[in-house]
Amino acid sequence: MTFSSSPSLDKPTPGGPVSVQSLDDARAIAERIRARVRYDVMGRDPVIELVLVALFGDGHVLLEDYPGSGKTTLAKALGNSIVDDHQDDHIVDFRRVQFTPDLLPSDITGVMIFDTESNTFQFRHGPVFAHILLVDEINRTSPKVQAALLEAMAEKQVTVDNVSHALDDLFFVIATQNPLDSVGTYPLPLAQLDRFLFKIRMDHVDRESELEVLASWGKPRQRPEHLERVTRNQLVQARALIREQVVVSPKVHECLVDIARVIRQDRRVTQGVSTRSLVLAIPALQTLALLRGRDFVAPEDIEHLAVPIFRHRLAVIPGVDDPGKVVSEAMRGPLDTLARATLR
Amino acid sequence: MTTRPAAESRGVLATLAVIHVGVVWLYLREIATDAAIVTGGLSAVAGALLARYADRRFLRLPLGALLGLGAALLAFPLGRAVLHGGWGPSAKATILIGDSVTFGLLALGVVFGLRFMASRVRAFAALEALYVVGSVSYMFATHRNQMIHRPRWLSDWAWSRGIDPQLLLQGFGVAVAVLAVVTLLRRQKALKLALSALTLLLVGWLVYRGAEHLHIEPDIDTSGLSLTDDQDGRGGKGDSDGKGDSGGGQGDGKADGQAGGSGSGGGAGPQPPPPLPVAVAVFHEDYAPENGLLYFRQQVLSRYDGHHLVAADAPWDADVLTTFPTDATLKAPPVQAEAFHKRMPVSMFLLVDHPQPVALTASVELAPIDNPAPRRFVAAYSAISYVLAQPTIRLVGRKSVPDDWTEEQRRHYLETPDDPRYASLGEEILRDLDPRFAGDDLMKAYTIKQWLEENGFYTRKERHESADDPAASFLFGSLRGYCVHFAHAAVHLFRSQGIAARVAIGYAVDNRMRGAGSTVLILGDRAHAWPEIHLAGVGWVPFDIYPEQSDEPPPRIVDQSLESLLGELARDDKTGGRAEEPLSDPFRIPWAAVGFWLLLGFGVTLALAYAVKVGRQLAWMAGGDPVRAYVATLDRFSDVGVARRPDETRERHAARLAALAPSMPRLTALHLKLTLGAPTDEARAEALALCRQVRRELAGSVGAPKRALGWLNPLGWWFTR
Repeated sequence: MTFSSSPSLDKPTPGGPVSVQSLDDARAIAERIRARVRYDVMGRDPVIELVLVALFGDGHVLLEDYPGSGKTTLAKALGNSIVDDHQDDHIVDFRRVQFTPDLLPSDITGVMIFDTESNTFQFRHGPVFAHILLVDEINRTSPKVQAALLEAMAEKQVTVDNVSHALDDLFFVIATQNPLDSVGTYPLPLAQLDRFLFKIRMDHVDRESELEVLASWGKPRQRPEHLERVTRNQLVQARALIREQVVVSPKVHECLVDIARVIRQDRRVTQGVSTRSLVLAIPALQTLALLRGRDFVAPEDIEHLAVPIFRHRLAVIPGVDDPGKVVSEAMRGPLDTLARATLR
Repeated sequence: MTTRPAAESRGVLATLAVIHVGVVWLYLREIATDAAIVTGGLSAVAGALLARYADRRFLRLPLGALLGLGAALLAFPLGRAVLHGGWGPSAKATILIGDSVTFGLLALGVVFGLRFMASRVRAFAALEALYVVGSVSYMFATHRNQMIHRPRWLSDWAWSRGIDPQLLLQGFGVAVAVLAVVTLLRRQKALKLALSALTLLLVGWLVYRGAEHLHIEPDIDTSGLSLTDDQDGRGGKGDSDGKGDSGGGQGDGKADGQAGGSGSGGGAGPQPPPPLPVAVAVFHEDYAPENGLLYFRQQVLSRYDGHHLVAADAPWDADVLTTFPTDATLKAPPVQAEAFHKRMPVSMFLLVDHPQPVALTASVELAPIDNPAPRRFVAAYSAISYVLAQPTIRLVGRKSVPDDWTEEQRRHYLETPDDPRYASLGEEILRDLDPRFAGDDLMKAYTIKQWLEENGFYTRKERHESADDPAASFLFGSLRGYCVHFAHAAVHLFRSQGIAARVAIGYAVDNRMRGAGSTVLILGDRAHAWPEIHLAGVGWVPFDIYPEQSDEPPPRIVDQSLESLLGELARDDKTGGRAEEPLSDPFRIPWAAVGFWLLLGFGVTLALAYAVKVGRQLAWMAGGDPVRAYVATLDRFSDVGVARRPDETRERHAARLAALAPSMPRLTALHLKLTLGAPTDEARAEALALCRQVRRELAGSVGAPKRALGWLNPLGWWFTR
């Protein structure tokens, strides 16, 4: 369903007081970000869509990819698309942290330092105080650092010296890890993987896109005028609007719960999906519905998102190489039931 | 484990189970009891279900195959154990249980193994298809030796319309093969499908050809009966004096009468008149007699009047029905033991007047039926005949004269001419008897029969008419004579050795001379006399003598067109030629009733299906409900075979349908909005309008024949999901 014509964001001036009032506006914002990121990252449209879904669905993503495949470019482009119109000075648009084995929790959360001038301890904000945080090689650091980051992701706050510091509402983490080079790593346990909305496995881009990348390298490209940025406030408002206005039918809830139950009952699965994952799935489905031009969640949204949402939360018995296959098999029945339910 | 096919839907599983039940029936119908067929069918269903369960539980492929094979192999020893252990309450029940165990387990194992393997690895589906096609090939494999009158129901129909059944059978085979391929190897690429179909056709053809060369050695030598020899014979040796063979001068003339009209003028005309057809017999069940001869008995001679054996008055030979049934069923007293015999329903249509009814030996019931062609047939009646269910030699170990016979009965059936030569010759012959069988009446009879066959010479030239005792003249003289002499001599010898015997008179027709279908045309020159002996607990058993030496020309072959013509006339009777009494076997399944109820059930189901179909189409027009309208629209697609697959979302299905109706994706989006989103009045109106639009588009893109078929399809809505 396409929305009615003109969005009310006719003059999207960054930092301006323009508010997001309708789903059309929300979609326009999402499309604007998408256009900008697509301009910078070529041949990654499915990944960009998933990242957008996570961004508007208030989740975080874990990219599993080889080095040099455009993860950082993607995260930067995303950070670049958002203008900070928030009053809090400590929060920046974009930060990147490279995780190493000798990293300490305070390196990412921030630390209390003694200010000799005022003779008081002052909090020095760490890199988590950003809208978009790119965490490279998340599995290369020690579990306590991982845990600190994951607390920040889940609670949107950090606690240093018994003082809690709130993060921005729009706190979005893009973490990466290398799927192959696993010597000396601390793989994330399932409980921590569970906090990521998606674990996206990126394949190499296709030939045409790669050629395009080579052709455009080194030549500074002039970004077309219409690729405007969006403000942080617009994005947060859009998030709330999507949550409120995109309809999720009880039948869709039933379908999700049924898929989870089928997965848990599967003999190949030793640990099924969590209830949290179902809760996280709802805003993601709503966002995808919006991106597809609908004001309600449809079966195709579930079909599209079930595998990236559930795949990394499963523990399967040895011999099963792809948990994604388990998920796709598990969702057949409930999706069929959902399709039948629409005929009654 | 290369390709693992997707799990079958329930509908496909049900279809396959039905196919397997049919296949089990085809395989078992000739060799198993009805109870075993039913058990086999149930086991096939169980096998199919178990295979699905095992597949879902990830049973390993070799293990599953072994399980199936094991069950199938276990079937025979277990069945034998039941039979030998005598576990049932009665002998009959034991046989039924043993049979059911054997074939039930066999069907379970085979169906489980095949289904499991096919559901696990696509390639094994070919094996399953082969098994299915094989059942049909097996059914038609009975045509080896050119016996294309099996199955009778098909070939009779074909013959009567002048179609060569062979063509029909081959066509049938092709149809079944294609059906099997389509059903069992679904969802393949077209090329693969075509290749598999061709392969299967080739295999089916090879099986058919192979079965053709599987000759069963005939029990008696029929080489002399081939067509060309017959034509030689027709060349006219002219030594047959027409008739007179039956009963000759012996009887009281009735036998002559029966042979009637065929020009009993003796002598050797240069061209003997062709033998007259005297009766037509229509068999309602398959029957292959032990020695290749069908005996149609008219009367028996058991009383010795001092010179000959003559027909005895009542109460003797009460088991032979001597009157025609007019309005009620005639039943013979239970002399023939049911346990050793098979009931054989036969309809008889007489072309020539006979003084007594002629029927297949030994008839126990005669019932009147409508004469289908009164100008052609002088009498029509149905008979239930008891034929031996096993070879006569199996009856060894029985006495001839039962203990409960009265002294009078003994005297009647053991009376011999007052001539000591019979007894002394009999004893002389029996000296050769293996001492192990010394007291056995049946073995004694066999020894005498064998002696007569070796030493007798069959000829019609010596008639022994002038002799006071023609049998003695034959037996102690030249040993040259014809059937009447052999029969009388044998009966006298049997009786002299304490074996109750009598002479039966009627017709003996070579079963192999039968032409088309279930009809037997009896010619006058097939008149015959043969001995019958009595075995305690069994009844009267035909015990014919076949002399090894003969100067007879081979018998004429029956004119097949005449046979089929008369057979067609005869089959026209309204009762279907069957005896009207229900068959008394308690384990027999009333197939006719089952068929009727199945047909009725099918009809009702069909009517219901159409009612639902029409109802669903009308529902949306009445209420204007967009959901009902969408369902009705989907039904139209299902009718032409593009229903949603179970693993397809509604959107994908709509995208697939866009080729037929471009508005379908839009309509589906609206439908989902109405059911899963926030419905608006505009969306409702638009959806209703689009439903009409989609129907128009569908009508435009689907050809009229396909659309018409779609309207006729009663079950299209069933696949709407």
